Amino acid sequence: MTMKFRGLTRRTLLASGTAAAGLSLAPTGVFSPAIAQAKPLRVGVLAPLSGVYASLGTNKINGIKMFFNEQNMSVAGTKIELVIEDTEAKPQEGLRKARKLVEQDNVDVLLGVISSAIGYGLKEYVNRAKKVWVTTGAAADGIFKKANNNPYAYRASLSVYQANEPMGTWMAEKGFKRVFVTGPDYAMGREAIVAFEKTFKVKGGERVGEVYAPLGTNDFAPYLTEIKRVNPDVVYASYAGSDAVRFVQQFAAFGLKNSIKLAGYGYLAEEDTFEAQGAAAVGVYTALNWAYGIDTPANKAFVANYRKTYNAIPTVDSVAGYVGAQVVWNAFKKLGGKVPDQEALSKAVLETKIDTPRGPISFDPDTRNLIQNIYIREAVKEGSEIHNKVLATFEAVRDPGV
Amino acid sequence: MHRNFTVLDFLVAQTLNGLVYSMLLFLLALGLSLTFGMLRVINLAHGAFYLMGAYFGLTAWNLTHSFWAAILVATAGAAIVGMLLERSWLQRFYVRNELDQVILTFGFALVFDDIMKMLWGKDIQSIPLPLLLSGAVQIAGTYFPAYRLILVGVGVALFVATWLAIERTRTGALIRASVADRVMVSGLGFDIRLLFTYVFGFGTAIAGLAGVMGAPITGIYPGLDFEVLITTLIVVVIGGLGNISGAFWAALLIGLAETYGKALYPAAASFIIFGLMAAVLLIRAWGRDEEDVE
Amino acid sequence: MTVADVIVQRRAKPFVALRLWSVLGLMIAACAAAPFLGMPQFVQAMVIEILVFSLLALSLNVLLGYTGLVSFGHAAFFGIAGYAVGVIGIHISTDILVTFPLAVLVATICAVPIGWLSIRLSGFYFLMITFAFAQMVFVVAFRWKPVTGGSDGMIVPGATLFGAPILGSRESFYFFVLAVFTVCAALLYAIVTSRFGRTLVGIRESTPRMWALGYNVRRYKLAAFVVGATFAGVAGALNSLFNLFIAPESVNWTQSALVLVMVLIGGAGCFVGPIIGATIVLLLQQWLSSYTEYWGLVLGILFIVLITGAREGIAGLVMQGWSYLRGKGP
Repeated sequence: MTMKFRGLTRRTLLASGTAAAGLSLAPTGVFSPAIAQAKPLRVGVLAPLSGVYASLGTNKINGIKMFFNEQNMSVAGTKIELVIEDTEAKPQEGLRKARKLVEQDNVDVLLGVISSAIGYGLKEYVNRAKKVWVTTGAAADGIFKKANNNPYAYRASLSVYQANEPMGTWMAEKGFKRVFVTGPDYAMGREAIVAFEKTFKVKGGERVGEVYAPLGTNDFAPYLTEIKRVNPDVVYASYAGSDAVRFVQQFAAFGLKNSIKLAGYGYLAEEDTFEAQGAAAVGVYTALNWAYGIDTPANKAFVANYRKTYNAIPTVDSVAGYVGAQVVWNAFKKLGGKVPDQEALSKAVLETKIDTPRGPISFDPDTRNLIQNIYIREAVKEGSEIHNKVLATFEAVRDPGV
Repeated sequence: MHRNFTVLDFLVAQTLNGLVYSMLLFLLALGLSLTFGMLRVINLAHGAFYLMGAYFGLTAWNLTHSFWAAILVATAGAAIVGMLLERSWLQRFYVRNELDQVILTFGFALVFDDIMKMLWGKDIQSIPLPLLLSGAVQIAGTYFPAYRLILVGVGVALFVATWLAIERTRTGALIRASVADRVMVSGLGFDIRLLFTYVFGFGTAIAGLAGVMGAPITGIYPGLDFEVLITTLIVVVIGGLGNISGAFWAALLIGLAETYGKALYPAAASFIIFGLMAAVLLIRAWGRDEEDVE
Repeated sequence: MTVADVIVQRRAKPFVALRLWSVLGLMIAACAAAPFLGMPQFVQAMVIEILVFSLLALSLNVLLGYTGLVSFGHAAFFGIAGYAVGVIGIHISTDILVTFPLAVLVATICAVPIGWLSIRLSGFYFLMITFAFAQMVFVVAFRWKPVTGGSDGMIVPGATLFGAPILGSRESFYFFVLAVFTVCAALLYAIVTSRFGRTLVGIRESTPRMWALGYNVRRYKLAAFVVGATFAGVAGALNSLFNLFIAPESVNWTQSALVLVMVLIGGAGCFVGPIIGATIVLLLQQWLSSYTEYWGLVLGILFIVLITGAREGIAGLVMQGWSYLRGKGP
């Protein structure tokens, strides 16, 4: 209550306190580099650099940077600048940063975002602000549908539906009949399962059990016991991130791996979870729009270059960033290195037809989702590492958009 | 092993699951409860010490491939950092009110969080179990990881050991006395400050131990510290701040409730836990006029 | 002149009001003039956010600074009103005369049972129970997909007035928020400097004494809680209408922590403290995270430094500096 004067301590703290306050009230904004001869093209990148999705965001930025560096940060003679902002995977912060990029930094295009919640909000914003946005994440089905198609928002990643639907067909054809489904209890987790079950049931499969665990569940023991009791042919799981690491580990620790096959949405067993999952991940089937082991020159070059540049293993998020950057760059190239207006840029993006480490891609005009390949993968041991090998490819998969 | 799963099997399996989860919760809650009980300090950096222990253990494992080394380094490391923190900063805050301590320790939690991110990166990591501990045991028609059973043992052992240490040893008596009457005890010639440092260090050491022992189950990643903190706070609040056996029983209650909740009503699990905490708080407060207690 | 007034005599400085409002008034006038002097859209957006969060922080301060109740669940009411605006907009009407007051009313109504139960505890336990209730609200927001949109959040329809869309442009919304903020700040000031407000301070200073003096402490605490929640609801409704979007994150404990931080950094003991705190935290967050991903570290250090040396927050430092400069001594 009473503030005793403590001499030097008080005064110095007073000074530093005021200094800190003053510093924080300094005008915000990025100190933009000197303007080059021709006005450089500015790409605003939104990614989570702190918070829950931090590692995914870093991979994404790596992919984006790698591509633009391969093109010497220029297109058709014009320089390209990247302005990177942290969304912290929070919608409020994401929108705030988007406003900054669009209104203060005057970027020519927005690239990025992983969180679907930010995706929903951002799609409305870019429609109002009339700025082309190519997302490299935000996979929730509902964000890109026929009903909310607008000329500025494009998804160069995938929809949850796209990745899981072919898995249902493939698993049924492989002979699996009784499936126990499980996933995190939020939109993405549930959407993945709905998509899988749709085609699995059409091909004669049957669901014998389901359980949705709260996001961030540490202990899957009660669910694993239940799975053991039901004893299905296969467990289909849509966990991602730390949930995926734990689920796969605990699945093996509880001995279920011996008698029940584990399969799921690509993020269950991906290059970023293998390190922590270890041997528990070997043999898991998943589906996603990329695999480390895709045997094309484009992918092999991508993987080799990424490993050399960053001394790290590329993940699906790295490739998503890379492909997103490809889309933007190719659109710029089509316009000759100038963006006269956003409508022209939008048209150029819509007409994208390129080859990528993930295979050929193009945009579906009805939803502005990608039409792309989906790969069925299996995690295999390669020396001291574990990677996804391609077992089957579903070509030109499209999200129905309804 | 396809005999029919009976109701008894279900009860045994889920109860065992619940016990294991409870022990993990207890390991977490013990350190925090102890620190509050003995020092009247609410340490919101507790989760950070858990994660710190896990990371120290990870590095130790990477260097030596020995799980035992990992446990040792984790516990010692967390203890040292804790004691340094207490000596350098926390000591001045014993006279301040709870909110100040909360803010201070929260500030340190944020700082530790980012430092750990800088040192160990953002990816999800894990500590693999040594072959000795990674087998599974057949119980009630289902496999049960041996490691989890070991955790139960560790939790119970720690509870008994801590309780004995506080209730039956001279040092324990000293600690209890200093809580009751700090001035008198230091008047008798004991170095209270050193004692408090050791107690705080012990609390953080246990958090570190929980971190490294829990790592094979929870994984290691930034953000785990705050997830763990929330759960720990719930256990400690229900058990009663400073009440060690309370923490034990609260951990059991929550562990079993959450496990059965997940098995029977997965959708409502988190809601129930928070509701439980609110209910316990209210029931306890109903009898007395809380406002008079300052 | 009641005994409570005597107890808190030193808070009732007659000239403070004049000084305070001349400064505040000047700032508000400056904000009002700025768009006409060419304030860019983006800066307007920032000021809007600062005003919204200042209001939220001011509302928390009624509980924290004046009544001494440290709530860790204040974001619940911010979020409830935010969601209500969306739900009402989708199902009943997007007319702002309907959505805005109704949304705030929803927050107020929710505050009554939550407050009634929570105020039976104090200190750390009050902190924990407000946290528990807020998390229950979070779980509902996160899970109840048909109503709240679940984890993906909800798009909030734009405001209309008698059928015609309004507040569509950044500028119009800017003035709207400025007006609402001014009115609410004035209301809050009137509340905390009234007899009611001084009773709250008395409760903070010494609850047993207030009981002994015959005040129904519980009723006053509940009133403070509900008042705080109501203004938090106003802030939440504004926020929703601005972003035209709301997600469960707005109700999460991290949001409650953020508001708490704003009040504490700015200074809980002074009326404008929260406004200063909200400004600093928002600007800091924006500015820092553009430069480094380790802004948590900086924030943590800020807390530690402030709580160790500047207990009363920035406002406290400023007031100390002021009186020091005037030769009164610290």
